[in-house]
Amino acid sequence: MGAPKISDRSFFEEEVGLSLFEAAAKTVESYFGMRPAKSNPILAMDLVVPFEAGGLILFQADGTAVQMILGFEKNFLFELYFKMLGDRVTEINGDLLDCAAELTNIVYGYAKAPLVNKGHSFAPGRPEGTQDLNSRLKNKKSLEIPFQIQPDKKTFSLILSV
Amino acid sequence: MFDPETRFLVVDDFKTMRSIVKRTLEAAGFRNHGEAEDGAKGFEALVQGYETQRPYSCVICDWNMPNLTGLELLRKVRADARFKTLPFMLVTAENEQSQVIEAAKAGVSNYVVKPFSPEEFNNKLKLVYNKHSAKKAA
Ligand SMILES: [Mg+2]
Repeated sequence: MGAPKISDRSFFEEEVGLSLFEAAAKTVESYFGMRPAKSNPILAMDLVVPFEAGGLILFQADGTAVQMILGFEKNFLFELYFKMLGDRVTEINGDLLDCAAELTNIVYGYAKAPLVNKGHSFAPGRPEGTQDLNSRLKNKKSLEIPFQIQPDKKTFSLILSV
Repeated sequence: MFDPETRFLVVDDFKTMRSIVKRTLEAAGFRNHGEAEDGAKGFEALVQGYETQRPYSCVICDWNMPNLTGLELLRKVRADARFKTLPFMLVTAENEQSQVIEAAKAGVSNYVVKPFSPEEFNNKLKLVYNKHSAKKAA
């Protein structure tokens, strides 16, 4: 019996999905000192999200092409940038998008390690920062998990698409 | 621990992580550092530092980078008589057994997993220093 395939619904939702969602929560928690709350997941074709910026990585998981996006409300990303780098930004610029890409990289790496240790295979592309999330969600089936940080209710989402 | 004048080379393809590493070094009292955005440029920086008598004394390097990865740079460094014993710490988002073994075989001094706190980073840096000063004493 080899490693389960990502195309198996249960594997996608339970193992890779859980690992990535946990990694996103942990990463944000490490900078905010507070665990983000998870809202109900949304499963949709051509998902539309309200986020102004995000990080994106394409990767192969057990041979299946997956896209992972970390989408951010811009004020949340400004705050995260400050927590990570100690500098304030007040507009979406190259440094902020670089930060979103690196966060995506961290979440992907954090989630991947335990899965690889269990025998799954992963091959990543290079993470990028983008302001154009919705066009990247067109013609794809996506699973979105929204998160909130209390008390400001600042939001971000992890979105997996196949 | 490393002398405050130690010259560090920070190699990462993302500016964000280079800034975080530099900021963490500065908070620990290390203000002398250079940077490079991939492994190939990192190696050039090492050679240039060596040739201009401003050598780097420690490399803090990302794993996943275009051109030359952190592991490839490490191998190149260990194969070069000029840099063979240079303290070399990998910063990685990945903590896989196979990668840890590969890095150890290639002669990494230690590694730190992202996201890290300043304490974790400094503790690893101390271990890197101890490892190399023990080797020198032996
Ligand atoms: Mg990298």
